[in-house]
Amino acid sequence: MKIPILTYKSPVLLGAQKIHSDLLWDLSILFTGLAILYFAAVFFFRNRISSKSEQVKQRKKELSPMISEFLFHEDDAPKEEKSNYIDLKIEIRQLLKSDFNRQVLSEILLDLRKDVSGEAQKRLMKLYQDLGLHQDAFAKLRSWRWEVISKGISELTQMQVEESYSFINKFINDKRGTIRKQAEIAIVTLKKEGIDYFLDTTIYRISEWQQLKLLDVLRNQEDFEPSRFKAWLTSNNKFVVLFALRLIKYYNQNDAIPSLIELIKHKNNQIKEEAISCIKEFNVVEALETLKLVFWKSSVDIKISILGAIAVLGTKVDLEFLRLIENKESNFSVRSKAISSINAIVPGSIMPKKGVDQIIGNQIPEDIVQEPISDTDEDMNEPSATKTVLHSIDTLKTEQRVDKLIEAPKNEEMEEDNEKLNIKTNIDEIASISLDFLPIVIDEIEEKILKTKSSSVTTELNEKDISEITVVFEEVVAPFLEDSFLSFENTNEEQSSLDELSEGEIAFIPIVIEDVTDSEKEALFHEEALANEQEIALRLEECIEEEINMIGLEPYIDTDVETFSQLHSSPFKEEWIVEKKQDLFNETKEAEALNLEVVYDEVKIDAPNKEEGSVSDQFLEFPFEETFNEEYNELDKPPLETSEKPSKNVVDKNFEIEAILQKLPEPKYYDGETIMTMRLLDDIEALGDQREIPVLKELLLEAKTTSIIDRINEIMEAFALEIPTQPSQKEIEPLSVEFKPFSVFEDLFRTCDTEAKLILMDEIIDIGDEKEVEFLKSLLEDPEIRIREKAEPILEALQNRLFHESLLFEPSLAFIDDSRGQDITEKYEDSFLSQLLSFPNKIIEKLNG
Amino acid sequence: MRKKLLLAEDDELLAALLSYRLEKGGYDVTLCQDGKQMKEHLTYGIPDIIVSDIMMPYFSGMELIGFVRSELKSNVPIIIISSAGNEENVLDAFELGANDFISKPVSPSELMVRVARELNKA
Repeated sequence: MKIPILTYKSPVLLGAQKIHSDLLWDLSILFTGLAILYFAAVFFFRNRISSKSEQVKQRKKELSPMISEFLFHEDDAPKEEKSNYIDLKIEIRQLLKSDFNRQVLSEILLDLRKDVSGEAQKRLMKLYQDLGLHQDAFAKLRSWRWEVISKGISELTQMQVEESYSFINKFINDKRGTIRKQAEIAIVTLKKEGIDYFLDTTIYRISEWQQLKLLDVLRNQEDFEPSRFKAWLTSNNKFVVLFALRLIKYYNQNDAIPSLIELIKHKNNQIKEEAISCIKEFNVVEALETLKLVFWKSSVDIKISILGAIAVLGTKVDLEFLRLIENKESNFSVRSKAISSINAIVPGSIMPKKGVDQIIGNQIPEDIVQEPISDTDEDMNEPSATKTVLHSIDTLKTEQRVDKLIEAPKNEEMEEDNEKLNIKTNIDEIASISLDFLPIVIDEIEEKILKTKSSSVTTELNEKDISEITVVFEEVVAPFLEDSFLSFENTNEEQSSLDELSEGEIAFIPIVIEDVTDSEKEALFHEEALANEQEIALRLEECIEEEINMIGLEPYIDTDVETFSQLHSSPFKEEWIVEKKQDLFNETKEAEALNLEVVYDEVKIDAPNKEEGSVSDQFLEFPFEETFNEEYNELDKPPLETSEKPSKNVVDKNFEIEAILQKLPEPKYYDGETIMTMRLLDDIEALGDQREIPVLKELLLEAKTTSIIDRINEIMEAFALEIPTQPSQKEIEPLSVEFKPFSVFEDLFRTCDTEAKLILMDEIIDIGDEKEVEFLKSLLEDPEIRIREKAEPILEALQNRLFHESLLFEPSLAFIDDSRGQDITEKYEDSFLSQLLSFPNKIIEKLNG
Repeated sequence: MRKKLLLAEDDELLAALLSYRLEKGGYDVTLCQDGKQMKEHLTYGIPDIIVSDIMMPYFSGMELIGFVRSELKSNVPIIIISSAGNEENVLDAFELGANDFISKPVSPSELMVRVARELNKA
């Protein structure tokens, strides 16, 4: 077979045209040229940029000391420094003529603004404006390029140029996102009310990040007083509503509760979720019903949020709703959240079920049952729990033991449990089961313990039945008491172990006394009362000593005053103690009814001082329930059989107390609204005066209950009787001092230089009045000598002019004594001569020219 | 006699500003732009107090503290300048032996007070 050879004549290669080598050369030259041009351009621009940055760097180096000089210049600097400062000012004015320098200066100040704080930062901002660099930033705002505008806004914001506020707020709704966001931050930063303006006007989306940034700005503002953000919950812009909700939550503004409840119904899930979060935060219980209504039509996330809120706010009433969700809801997350909410309201009401082994029917492994058990030392290595189980199983075989267990009193609860469990398992099957879960079984346990701990389990089943095992449940005992509690079984050891315990360690348990006679009780009470008395005496003495030590003085002993010991031995004190004993005795009587004799811890009350008044004045008992009183009266045996017979005063005092109790007003129960109104009325009474009468009248019209009406009438009567007090002279005087006449020149003098001050002083002669007299007097002590010198003649000239004017227009003013502000005519109105005599010589001289 | 202060700060503008303020406050300030320069200066002689930024080229503030305390065996007071939110570094610096720290943005007046206090302690 002949294979065709592919040549240039072959039809396959007919499509490839012949390329002229000249053209190839031309193209090569062109592309080489372009490459050279490109690289040249790159080098050119790179060099230009680097050289410019080098220039900027260099200029920064030159200008930064100048900036430092400006920042840290102080007015009280030495002369040399001052002259340098003036030179520097001139120099910088020259430099500012160049745009490049202005740009560099701006950069320096903006860089430093980030690095410095405190006073230096404030000076920096002031310097920025003093040098007029903010004008450049304003110029940037007029640019058509978004990045330039954005930079301009940023500069003005950083340098806190407040006057830029009105220029920047135009960009709040700019269609270019970067400018808009920059403007939002600027508006909020520059003025405290900026946030209000922003929330009012913005129509665009506020991103999460932007919200965070704005919140950060607000947080860092000094003395920022947030507006009531509930005002924006009605905004058409849902992002404004969302942001307002977040601000409400952040600033804890819980006065927007009705709006928050309404917003739970919002279509937007984000708003809904935020509203629920607020409700949860502010504990708005009123929202529970709305939450329940909204629940069924909400998304899974919202449902979970609602359930979270119900878990916090809900009560047992809401359990039904939660159980309904648990049963009806198909979504696992929601269902499990409902369960967790139920458990949050009633802890432990739903226990874990899935993946939990059922212990019903579990048996002790066979091999364990069949193994011989010995008490030899070899077995000591085995776990004690296992050993005791084995041992008890072995002993269970004895009928004696079974009989004993059957006879033992059964705990009702345990019986019920056993019935439910219906234990009918064979011990032979136990071998395959782990014993970890089993309770500790003890072989020989005292019957007494079995009784008290109610831990025996008996059955009528066969002797191998597990239910025959005597179970001792784990007992929770205070660690320090553990040993002693266990030894409680052994009566011999019991007393010794308890004795070893300190008083403080067993302070938490009531003292139980067995079979104590009345006389012993009394003796005990008496001892305790005396002990308390001694303790009080010691403590008081210690307190007195401490006070003396603190003051550093020896105690002052007054023989007329009853000494402490005397006070304690006083008959009154005895009465008080006897009364306490009586109370305790009665309490003990009650305890006897329960077959227990409990000595309650005595409440240590400082003995009331005899000199301070009777007991009835100071001592008020809790009102007793009627039933308790009956018992109390039954148990109340007359006079205690003590060595000290109660005096008549005790009986009298009891009567007094009863009389006081009878006199006490009956308790009144108000509903929530009435309580609020009563509180308001209390406040009005405490803080208000006659001006509140109209308000009270309004409240009277709205009042529903008689108690409120009575209360309002009472307050109105009290106010009506009040006489409005006139402010005293002492109160008026400080006001007159505070509102002393203010000279307009004083204000002008603060800002102008010396030359201007001198010019202004000339004006004072022509247009000044009494207000300027004081001001000119103050100028007599001015640090500038030229001002001091000029102030004196001007003051004189002004006084002359004022005097002449007063004579021309208001002659009566001539009789005003400046020093006292009192009209002399009142003093000397008796005779014209006396009036003439009262003319100061100075005035007469001035009248004469 | 003016106390010698070694200031290490890589930000030229801030360094110049702080240097000016410290000099005005009566200190003889030696300025270093990075850790390398700082180390060189320290090998020539130990100043009365060191004020150093933590983040610096070549040789960080932390290494500097280690160098001064371990190699030079000097107890010269060291004040660290750290950025805000850089608490971990500050704690490490204290562990290494820094005496005090000041966070950025720096208040020059505050720095002056801290320097004076450390020198008084020393």
